[in-house]
Amino acid sequence: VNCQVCEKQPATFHLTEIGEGGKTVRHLCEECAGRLGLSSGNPVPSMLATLFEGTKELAATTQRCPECGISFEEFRAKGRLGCPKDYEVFAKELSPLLEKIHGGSGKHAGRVPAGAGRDTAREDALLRLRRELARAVREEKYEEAARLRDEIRQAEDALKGVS
Amino acid sequence: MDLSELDTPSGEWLRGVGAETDVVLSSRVRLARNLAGFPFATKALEDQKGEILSRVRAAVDRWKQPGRRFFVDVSAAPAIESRLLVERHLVSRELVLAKGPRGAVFGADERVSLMVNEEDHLRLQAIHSGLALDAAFEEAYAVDRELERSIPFAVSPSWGYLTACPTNVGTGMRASVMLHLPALVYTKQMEKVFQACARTSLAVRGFYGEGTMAQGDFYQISNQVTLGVSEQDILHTLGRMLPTILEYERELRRHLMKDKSKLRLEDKAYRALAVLRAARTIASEEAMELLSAVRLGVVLGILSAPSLPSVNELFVLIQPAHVQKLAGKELEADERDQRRAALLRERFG
Repeated sequence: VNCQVCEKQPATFHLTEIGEGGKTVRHLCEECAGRLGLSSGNPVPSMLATLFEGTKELAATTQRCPECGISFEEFRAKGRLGCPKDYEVFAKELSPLLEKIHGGSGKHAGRVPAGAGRDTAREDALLRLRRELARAVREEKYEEAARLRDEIRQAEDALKGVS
Repeated sequence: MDLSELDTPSGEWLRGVGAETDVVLSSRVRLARNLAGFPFATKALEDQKGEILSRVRAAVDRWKQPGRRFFVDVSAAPAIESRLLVERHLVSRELVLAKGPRGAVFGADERVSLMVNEEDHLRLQAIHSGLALDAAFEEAYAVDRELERSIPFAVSPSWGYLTACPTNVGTGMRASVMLHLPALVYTKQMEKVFQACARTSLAVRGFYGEGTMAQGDFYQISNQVTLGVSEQDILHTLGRMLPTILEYERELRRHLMKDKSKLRLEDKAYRALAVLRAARTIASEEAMELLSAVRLGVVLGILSAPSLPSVNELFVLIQPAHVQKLAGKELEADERDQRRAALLRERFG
């Protein structure tokens, strides 16, 4: 069977969709499946897309994460957050979404790492230092890059000491 | 990676040992983790991904557990090798299709595997044969605890383990069972399972997980909720639902073994085996379907041979990359179908 989209490559990806209208089977090649967001990488964003329905007001914020630079709009489009800090930065926008996905209290009830004394400030500092390091390397400012690497190493050691 | 270095031609989870193996093929627990102080994989730069990869490797190298471990640099691996790992359920398609430094680590028995720089920095899984969710959970957590000794993970008191996608945040845990449900499929009752699972917030997926089709009448059932519940809650939710599904499948099997339908079921199993023994060319979908009928025939005692483990492992060994690996070269679809038929004739001959 050839791919139903490009009609060239052999279909290696067979998707059975079970919806209200019954079962449909689509035969696609890996490439087209990937492009259509049907290979395993992408169903989550499409699932998120349905979760986003009726939450248009959430896009109102134009704020960006100070650490990774992502906007809520960008998250909506890709379905993936940019860094751990986003959960704080977009707490208000994420809250109804988390409730839709997980129901219930929306408060973590599982285990935490042994001896977790979390040093949020240092973790944020690490995100910032790594961003600055990337910029310094891009701009070929090698002395600054070397200094930043030292700072990162120190912050890392301190972080390990905590957890 | 050389397959001959692995313990067996297929993962231990296909051994057909453990509880409820007439219906439950395997049990799996996977955990999503991210390193604190790094952007998530979607935003991480190449250098950062490289650093994450080498750190995880270093942490793994420090483990005291015995047994050989394999490391695969997925960014450098030939396509066929990566596909082989996908077919063995060791890595996801998503990891193969991702960009930049990324890799996989797994033991020779393929029970525990780790993906680095997939959607999250770390995806760690334990798969066991049969119904063994608690054992898979314990094993996954032992590895998690080992890793957290040297790697600080991104966690928050309110949201738990922080993940790139909010569908995994909290415990970061997905527990699943791979069920063989031919009787439900033959009698067109799967819709009821879908509905029951939807009501209890469980997801139903195909043989290769998210967005893949249900091959060989295998369905993977897993928790959707990861936040606001404990790891034990997740195991309980699955555990509560499972007996209903297993009993339903078994009841239909008993029903199919009665009166006139018994002859039809026997006919189906014998014909399936006959085709697998005789075919000169066979596509993987057809082979999966026939193997499913043979598997049912074996567990119901209609067929005295082959053994359950040998049928189980064929569900993986007949996949396209495996057929090509066995042939030692890339093959066109028709050649693959011929080689697959030859493999099956040899196994069932």
